[in-house]
Amino acid sequence: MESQNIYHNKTAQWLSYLVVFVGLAFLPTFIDPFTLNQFSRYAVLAMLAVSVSLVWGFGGILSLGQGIAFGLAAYGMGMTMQMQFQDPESNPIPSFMLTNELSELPGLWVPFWNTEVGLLLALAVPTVFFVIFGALMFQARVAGAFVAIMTLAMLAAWYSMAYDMQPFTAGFNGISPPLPFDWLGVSFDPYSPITYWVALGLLAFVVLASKLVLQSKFGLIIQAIRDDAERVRFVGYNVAFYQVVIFAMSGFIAAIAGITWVMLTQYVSPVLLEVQFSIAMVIWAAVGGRLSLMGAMIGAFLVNGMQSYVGDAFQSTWLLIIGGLFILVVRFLPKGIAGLIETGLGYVPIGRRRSDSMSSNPARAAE
Amino acid sequence: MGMLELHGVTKAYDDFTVVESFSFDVIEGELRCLLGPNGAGKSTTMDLITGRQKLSGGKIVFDGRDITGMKEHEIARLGVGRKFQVPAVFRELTVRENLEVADNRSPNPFANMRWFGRSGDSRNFDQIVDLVGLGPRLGTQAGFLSHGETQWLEIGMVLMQNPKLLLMDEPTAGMTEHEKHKTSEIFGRLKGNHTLVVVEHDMSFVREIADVVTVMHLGKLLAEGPMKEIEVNSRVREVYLGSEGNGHDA
Amino acid sequence: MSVHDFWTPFALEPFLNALIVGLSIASIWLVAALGLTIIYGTMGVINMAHGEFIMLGAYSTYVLQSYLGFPFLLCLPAAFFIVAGFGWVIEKVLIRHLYQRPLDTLLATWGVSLVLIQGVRLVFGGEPQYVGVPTWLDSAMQIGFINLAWLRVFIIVVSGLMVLLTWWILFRTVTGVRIRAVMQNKEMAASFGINANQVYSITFAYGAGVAGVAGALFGAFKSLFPDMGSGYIVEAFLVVVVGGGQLIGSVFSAGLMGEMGSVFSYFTNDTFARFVLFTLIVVFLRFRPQGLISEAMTRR
Repeated sequence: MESQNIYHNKTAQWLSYLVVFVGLAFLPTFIDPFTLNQFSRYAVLAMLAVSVSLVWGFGGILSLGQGIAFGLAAYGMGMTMQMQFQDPESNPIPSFMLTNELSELPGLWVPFWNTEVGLLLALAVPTVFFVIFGALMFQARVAGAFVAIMTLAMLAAWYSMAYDMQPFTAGFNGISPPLPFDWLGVSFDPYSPITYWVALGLLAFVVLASKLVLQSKFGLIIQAIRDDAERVRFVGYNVAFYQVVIFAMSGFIAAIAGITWVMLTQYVSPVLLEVQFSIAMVIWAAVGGRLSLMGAMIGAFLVNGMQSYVGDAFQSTWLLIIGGLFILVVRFLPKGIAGLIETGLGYVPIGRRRSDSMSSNPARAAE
Repeated sequence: MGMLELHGVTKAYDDFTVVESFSFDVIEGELRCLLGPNGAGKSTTMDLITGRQKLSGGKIVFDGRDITGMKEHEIARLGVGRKFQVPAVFRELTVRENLEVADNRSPNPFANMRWFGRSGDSRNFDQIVDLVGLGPRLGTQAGFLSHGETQWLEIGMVLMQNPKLLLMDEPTAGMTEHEKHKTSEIFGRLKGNHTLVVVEHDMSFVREIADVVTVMHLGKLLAEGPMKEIEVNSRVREVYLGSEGNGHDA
Repeated sequence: MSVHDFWTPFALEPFLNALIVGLSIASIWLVAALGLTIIYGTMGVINMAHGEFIMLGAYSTYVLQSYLGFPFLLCLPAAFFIVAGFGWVIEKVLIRHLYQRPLDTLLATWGVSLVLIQGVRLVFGGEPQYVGVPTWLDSAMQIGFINLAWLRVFIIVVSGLMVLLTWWILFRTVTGVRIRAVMQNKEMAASFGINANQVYSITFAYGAGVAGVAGALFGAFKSLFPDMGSGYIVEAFLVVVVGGGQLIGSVFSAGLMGEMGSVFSYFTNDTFARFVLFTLIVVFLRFRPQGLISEAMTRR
């Protein structure tokens, strides 16, 4: 008997995505610019949670290094925006470099004079890094907790680089481009609806593309690898290749998030490469439901929304709350909020609730 | 020419040898049973053929190609399907999804990202579902199947790969008499159309299905021939049947 | 910044000093990783709260010393028992329920670490605390051009003793036999009447206790912060993973990593050395995922 739960109905799933994204698109009508900027940020963090859900929930690869792609892309975007502010004639070098005794723009920065090249690099460098890093790990059949440790170590290594290469990255202070991102004749003011729609649009793209990929045969094979990687090899698939692809996809998504983040905050610093931040992404995905893209998204909105609103009142106990919540979720709700919804919808007879056009079938409804 | 030829295959660790210059040939369309007491090296031989373990010496030829040293998935793609001793299915996927994954028509991840069709459309799929009798269970998560059903699902998965050679490691392990009977029916229908190598402990099952039997002992070839000859072979009786009392590793 | 500033040229005496500093770093990493090695090696549990166990050891020392007037040397065993007790409880209420889900243990223990950091911050505040050390540990050893704080020498000695003690427990006591039996095959050990759950409890508590001792030691030469543990966790894990989860493996890997890190940072600087070292480790694990030392692999 095929599943009777509407939660597993693909049409219902796509419909719910449609409802959520259309609903979110009307948000600027109701809320003030500051809150709107908050929501834009949640959308970016939701992309990160989705990238974790994809690679960990579905791919079985617990990556604690999503911050690498996020951070590298953020630096690329920060550099691009900084160079938009600089002028080749009158003001060719960012001021922090001058205080670090650099007399000319380092070669690393030169390509970022061009906005398109800068954006391309911000997306391509993290993705290529994930391809190489992933190939290194997965060809050696590194799996499980070892992946977690290796990604963690790599993240820590990048963190110290960003922190230490002060003349190039402004170290701990970070880069804060003075002007909003300006591209294709549009100035993306962080507090404007258009910027919010860009962030939301990118989130929608990320979620829907991931959803499509997961519904393809590739998605099935990836989940089979999560269940039993060795068995998949004997079916005739190159497991490492598949793992590299899903890992790089998640890195690419994190890179998109990184770019958008800097557009919203006009600031990039090594904090983005901190271990705590990358693990927080895993927490959002776990709380929302690692096995559901929508769940991961909701987890990111919920936890971060709570942090901004509840967190202000309970500043000193916030970590206690989130840590405790996380322990409880892992211990008792491995499928997160999405798992709760799945169980809840299991009690709803299919064919009655969603639409009138679907004539109710008594035999099925009785199930 | 044989479908599968093992030439002096050896597998040794630092201080002991599991398989020692073992050779055998399987011709196309044959059903070969591989027998032997525990520790005879049967499962290791399976591992060596499918690339799970690396050979210390010798050579394996499959369908005219030297497959020695190839990776697991490359060997599988050439047409070697394998069922494991401990049934290995994807427990969190449904029976239908398990079979779809096993349908490996394209190995390329990017091609598979654009593939939304269902293997269910192919007549091959219906035939296999029918053969292993899992039609009513297609929507069930594989983790919820009974032990016998799991074994049949894995047989179905191997068939979905459409392999030239099927390696079956203890297909009746842990089955009830009724389930064993159904499994031997499945094998009866596979016989002739497929080339099979079956590792099995259950003598009555072997008697039912086997053409030729190869007996291993301590990593070496002990005897080879039709079941009737093997059963009266004194050396086989000595090492294998004599130890049958404690020989079952269910 | 020119290449010349970045790259320190070779000179014998400072280089030898760097090697000795490397030995000291290695001993610190070893102490930090020892408890983790035992827990990971025996139970396969990745305990992300290990750094916070170290932190608890340091704060226990601080409390015992400042409020109860314990002498420093007595604080070491006391920290062991306090943190071991804490580990025992964590194992009973949380870890035990997650043995079937190793990745989830990793996450749950991360939650524990968040709670511990914030809990300690609530009780003791976010400002640094200090642990006092006896005067004889407060000076530096000076032999020729070699200059090393006595405290660092003390840590080298204590780490050596703790490795010996752990080795003795594992290989010379009945409990050790049980632990190793469970480590190799849980089911078979159970069939010989060994209570695997009890072994796990003991192992986890012991590993936590060792982290407590490490915390007491680290508290002596660094100021105490609620999140001080996160500074050790990555290195400690790398020591364990590179060492293959074996006691002797961790000794070798801590030694190798400490010396390599120290030598790299002699030629360049601390952070660049860290980057190179971590990258090298990732590449090393690519070719030897089982680590330096490994048990024979078991197959189904």
